[in-house]
Amino acid sequence: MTRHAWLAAGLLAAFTVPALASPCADRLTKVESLAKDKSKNAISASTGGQAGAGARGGQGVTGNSGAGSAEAAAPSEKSAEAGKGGDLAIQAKVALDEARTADGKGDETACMEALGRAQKLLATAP
Amino acid sequence: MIHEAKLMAEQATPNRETPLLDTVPGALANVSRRAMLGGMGALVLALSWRDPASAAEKDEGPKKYGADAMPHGWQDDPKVFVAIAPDGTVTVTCHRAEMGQGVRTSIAFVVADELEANWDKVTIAQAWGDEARFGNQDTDGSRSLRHFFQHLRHAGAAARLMLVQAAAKQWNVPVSEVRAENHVVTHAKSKRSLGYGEIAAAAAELPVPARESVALKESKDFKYIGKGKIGLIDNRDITTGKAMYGIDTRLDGMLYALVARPAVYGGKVVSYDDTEALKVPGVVKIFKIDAPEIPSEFQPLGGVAVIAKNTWAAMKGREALKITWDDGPNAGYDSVAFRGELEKAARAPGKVVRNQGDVDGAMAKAKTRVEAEYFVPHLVQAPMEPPAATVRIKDGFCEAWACTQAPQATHDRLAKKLGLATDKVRVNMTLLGGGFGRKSKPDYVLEAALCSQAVGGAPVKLTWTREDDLHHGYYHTISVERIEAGLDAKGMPVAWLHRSAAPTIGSIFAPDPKHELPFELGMGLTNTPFAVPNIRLENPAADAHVRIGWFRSVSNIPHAFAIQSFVAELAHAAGRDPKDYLLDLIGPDRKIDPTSIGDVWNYGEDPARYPIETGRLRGVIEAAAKGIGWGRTMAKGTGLGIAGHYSFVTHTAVAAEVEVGAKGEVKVKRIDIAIDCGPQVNPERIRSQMEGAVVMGMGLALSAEITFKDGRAQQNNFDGYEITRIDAAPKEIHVHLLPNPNFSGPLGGVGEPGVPPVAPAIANAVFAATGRRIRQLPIRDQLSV
Repeated sequence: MTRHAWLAAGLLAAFTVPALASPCADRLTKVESLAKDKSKNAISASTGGQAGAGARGGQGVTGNSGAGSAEAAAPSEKSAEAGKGGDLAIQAKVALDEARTADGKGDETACMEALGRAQKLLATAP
Repeated sequence: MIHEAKLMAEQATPNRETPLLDTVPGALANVSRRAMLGGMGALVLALSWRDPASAAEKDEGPKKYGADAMPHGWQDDPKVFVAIAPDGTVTVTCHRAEMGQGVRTSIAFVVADELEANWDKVTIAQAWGDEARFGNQDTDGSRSLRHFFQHLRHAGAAARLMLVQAAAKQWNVPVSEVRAENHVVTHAKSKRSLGYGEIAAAAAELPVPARESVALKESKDFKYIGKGKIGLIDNRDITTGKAMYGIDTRLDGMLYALVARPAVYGGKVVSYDDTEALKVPGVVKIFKIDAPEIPSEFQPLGGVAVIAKNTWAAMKGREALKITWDDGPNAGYDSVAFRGELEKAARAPGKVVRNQGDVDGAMAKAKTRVEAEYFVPHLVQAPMEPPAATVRIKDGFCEAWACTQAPQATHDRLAKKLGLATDKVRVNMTLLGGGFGRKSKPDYVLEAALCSQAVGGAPVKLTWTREDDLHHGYYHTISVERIEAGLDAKGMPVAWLHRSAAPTIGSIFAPDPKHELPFELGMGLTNTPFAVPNIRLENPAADAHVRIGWFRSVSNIPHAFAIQSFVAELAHAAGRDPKDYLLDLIGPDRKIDPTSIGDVWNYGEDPARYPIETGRLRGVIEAAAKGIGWGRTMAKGTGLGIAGHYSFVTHTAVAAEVEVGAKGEVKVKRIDIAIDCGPQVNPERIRSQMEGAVVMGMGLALSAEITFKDGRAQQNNFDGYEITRIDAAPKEIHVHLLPNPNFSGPLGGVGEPGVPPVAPAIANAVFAATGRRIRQLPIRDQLSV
């Protein structure tokens, strides 16, 4: 192959690859970045002693606090909202992986559905 | 008689009321040294101090990790941690709880090394609970040195710089010409020198140097850090019975208390008759403690308290109580039947917590499929010293002496429970005779406070008996792990489905959570670093019927047992060597961002600084295998097993050699345990922690189990709850520390990571010896038929 032919092939590839990517795949990459950020938020918020971490996690997942927890001195700045974030980030990541798999199979509808689910979860994650 | 002798010994032991410098904390620690300091009117560095660096103070961005993100952050102020007396005695304050892991020793020599202190002139004082002063004090999560190593180095180095600056000022020479070494500051040009004690007062007058101006030592210049030459600072006191634990506390006029608690979680006192109990000589007062609402978090369980003039009277008084209980909603809890519920849950789809690729599709196309279920029962921490606390409330001030892993949480709850301002409470930290997570819960300190309150604030020591500890614990969860793999033609997994069903720790904080929390999932489940293209992890719902708590290494225990056992099963199915198969499954060396595989816990650490490093996991597996002589010919009835696991941002592997006797009795002959925890600050203690982890891991592998019937724990003492005894301990435990000289790099945890791989390594060795697969713990008599 001549140098010009290589150049032409390269240019062709450069212009065709984006065209081959599905709309879902394009959006996936961006949302995955957001999900990663939310996951880091969750890690950052989840640290602490057992009382704080456990209370945040338990109350975050259930949306409730027990009577005993009312007496807890868990840091208020990292309350149940922080615990909620971890679970939401996990669920969003699960949905994104589903979307990625669907995209790999060329199932645009399933990809978009899972992606939408992930976005909804991430929108509520702290 | 024995009891009387003990009391006399307690009376002879000084307590915290011995005069001490306000700035030198030292509850029940090294009293003679402290008394000497007080008597000499020591001039100390600790005159004023700066607030700990909290997340808010060092706001470098929205995300904080590690120590930065802990409540009250960290502290590196030398005036908090270092005091130097006129005779040169250096007192280092330890703000973390000592429970045998050697943190008092490690903290002291880290500071002393940077300070250039002569170890022979260093002593240690124990801090009280005050995170606003000391930074975070939650001694759990295997993070004392992980979070404080660099900050304590800084504290020592800053103190050294202050001594140099003070000497330079006194001699009127440039600071750069003065050197501090081995407890002496020297100006070589003028041949002048001063001992640390001679210049300490002047140094204390100086402002603490700005952080950026303090130079840490190069690691090649370390004298103590990483050398492994310093033994446990408390060793002599511990081995001669002089060490003061929470249960040893004794104050003038002290009363003694025990509590009769509901046998079932959520139970309540309906009525009680204390007529006979009050007739017991020495019984002073009996009163009811209201049961908390469920979930009860860290609150006392309620019941009836008996206060007496001595522990024996309190025990006899408790025995004489006639109590009518309402057992509450968990009265029907039967852990054997509950196992069936968990198995049922694990055999049906559950909440998906990781879903990589297409498991169903790959499973359908797999050449073969293998599936197995694993069971781990409830466990209890059973520290050798059961929970104990002493509380006195005098003139509106509450002072507690407690073997606690969480002094600040204890402090805050005491204030709330008693309705006191937080500055009217002080929690003194004693030595802990073991903790393992149990002593992070202050329920027993709160009980002691209620007892003191009931007798007008007189000092009361509240003791849990061994039976109390086993009957009313914060139990390790009970779990069923079901794993299914689809294999390719070479026997390697192309699909991996793992369902983990276990009641969550979250159930003590919130009503009725059905699923494990992210931090439980992140303990060896979601962050499984296998090179398998299709992975789905599910967490079926599970109810909790007892208080679920943290047990050393927590959810890593069931996850590691199941996964590492299953890998060995797959290796066998493929006709492969288990170690080689495990390494192939881990795959090529790579750094995995935990968030990329759905782990949103990562032990609270920055995923960029603390990725999962499969090369390091491979390294420990190979080291353990090499150590034990993997591949050697084994005699009949003996076998080798191996397991590797990542936990607390540390990589650990265990190789076990077992012998199974004719009656099915399992003898662990040798264990090789390898750990890569990053730079090793105290190799001697790391070895000790690994040895302890092996012994504890053996206990849960071979014999330890808590069962419940009618909501009640069935085991009473060490006859029923069998931990490893000395005759069962392996004759040989070989610890392999993988070198890492980069002391600026991230430290991993040490206290807990040794435990998880022990049980699967032993179980795999049993299979190698007998051909019988262990799928439930403890092994106990499974091989006897």
